[in-house]
Amino acid sequence: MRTGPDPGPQNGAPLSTAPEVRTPVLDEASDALLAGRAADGDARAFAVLVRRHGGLLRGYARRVLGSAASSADDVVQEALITAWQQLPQLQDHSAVRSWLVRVTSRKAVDLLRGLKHHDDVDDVDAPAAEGAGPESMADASALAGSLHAALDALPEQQRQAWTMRELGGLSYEEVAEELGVPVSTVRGLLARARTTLMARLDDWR
Amino acid sequence: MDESTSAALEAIAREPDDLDGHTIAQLADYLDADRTPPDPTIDASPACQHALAALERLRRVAPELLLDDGAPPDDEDWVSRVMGGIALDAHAGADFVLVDGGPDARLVMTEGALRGLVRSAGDDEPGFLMGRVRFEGDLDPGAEVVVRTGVTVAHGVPIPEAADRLRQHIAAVIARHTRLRASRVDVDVEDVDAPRDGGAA
Amino acid sequence: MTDLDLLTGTIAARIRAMPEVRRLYPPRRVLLPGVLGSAQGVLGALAADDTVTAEVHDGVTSVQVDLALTGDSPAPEAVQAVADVVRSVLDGARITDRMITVRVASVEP
Repeated sequence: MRTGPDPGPQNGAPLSTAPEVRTPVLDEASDALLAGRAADGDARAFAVLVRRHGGLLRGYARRVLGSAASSADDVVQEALITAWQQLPQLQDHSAVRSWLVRVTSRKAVDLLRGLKHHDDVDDVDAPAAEGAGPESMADASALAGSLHAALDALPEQQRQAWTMRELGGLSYEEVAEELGVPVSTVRGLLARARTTLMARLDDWR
Repeated sequence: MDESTSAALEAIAREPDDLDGHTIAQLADYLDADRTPPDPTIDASPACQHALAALERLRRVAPELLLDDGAPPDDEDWVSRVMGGIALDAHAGADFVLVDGGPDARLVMTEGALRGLVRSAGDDEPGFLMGRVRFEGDLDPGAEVVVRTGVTVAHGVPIPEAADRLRQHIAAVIARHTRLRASRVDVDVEDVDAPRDGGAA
Repeated sequence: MTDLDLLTGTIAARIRAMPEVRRLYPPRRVLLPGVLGSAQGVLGALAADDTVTAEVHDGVTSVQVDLALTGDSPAPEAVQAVADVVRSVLDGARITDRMITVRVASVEP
């Protein structure tokens, strides 16, 4: 697969000039460089970040949202718009991926809170989640499918805490901040989630 | 997962406290801390060791949840929807007077536009990919400005000569599109792009 | 106000036709606080027409043009040319108390 400009054989000139130098291309640039350029206002660089991490953020948002997973695309879109605005304040550009996960976490939690305010609690807590449907089960490996089901069956806060910690890589303190609960509560939520999930992995086996 | 692990898991599932006085929360913390400082009461407990192995396994398979989630990685429609939603002038920075407009006109450029000019000048220079661009000094017409750039350079590029060409190119672009003079252009090589193997031979 | 609309429409059309100009930006984009579940609404708010704004304050007509240049000609000359186009339209409307702002938001070869 070839990317980037490459004089290649169609260039009729003799090959005697400069040694082959491959100019670095934006699509393959580091997260840190892309985030720096995006913070400077380079939309092209931001688009590369969106393309690179969008799939992960969407999958992540689905897991945090559980039964509200159909809003995952909206959540991630809104998170990315916010991220674009706030990028100039980001200190460590090499950590842009985990920062994007945090912004997405916040938007997802906001959405769930909003749903609750609108008396849709039943909807949020409904056990049948999209991710556990037969369609996605068929695609997923049996193990991941089993985990999906186990994760979706967890109480909402346990699922969110576990997803943020294990899939999003957030620290306990960050999870606590996102969920608006004390760190000690996060510890307890994670312990219960892990215990359940480990047992479920065992069932699968 | 071997049989003893799975036996331990069953025990955990039924009696979460049966871990020689430890809890899953403590074990997860211990794992997060790379098992340091070593805790002999955990390291010597078969039940704890089995639980730790199960926790590690859970952590290893977790990323599959995302990969198997049916999220298309390269959905250009979706990417353009996101890009359509961002306000392109969000990082425009302050305006500076580009050129005197007389009593009835204010003719300005945004700092972001000037950064963009420097950035694309650098990207056009063979062997370079530009990172951040900074200006020092005020940007009034006739002022001298220091330009600071961070760049990634291709492996094999003779850096001093190439950096000189880059400096000249940037200074020329500033001279053409503003009334500023670049008194200095700093080129900070932040990264060297490694040669690709498996690329064009 | 329809007079001002006519004025800004004329100015925008003339400026868009200039070879130095890539496009006009909406003068001030305000990102509304997002309402989740209605990303459409957020995007819709952003898709305001690119145009030129004009307002009258204390008898002075202010015209603001935000644009992207092509870079074919030097930016200082290009913005002076844009200001001249605005002046000629305002002259035609006999508006002499005026303040013209031309803002280069990007240069896109």
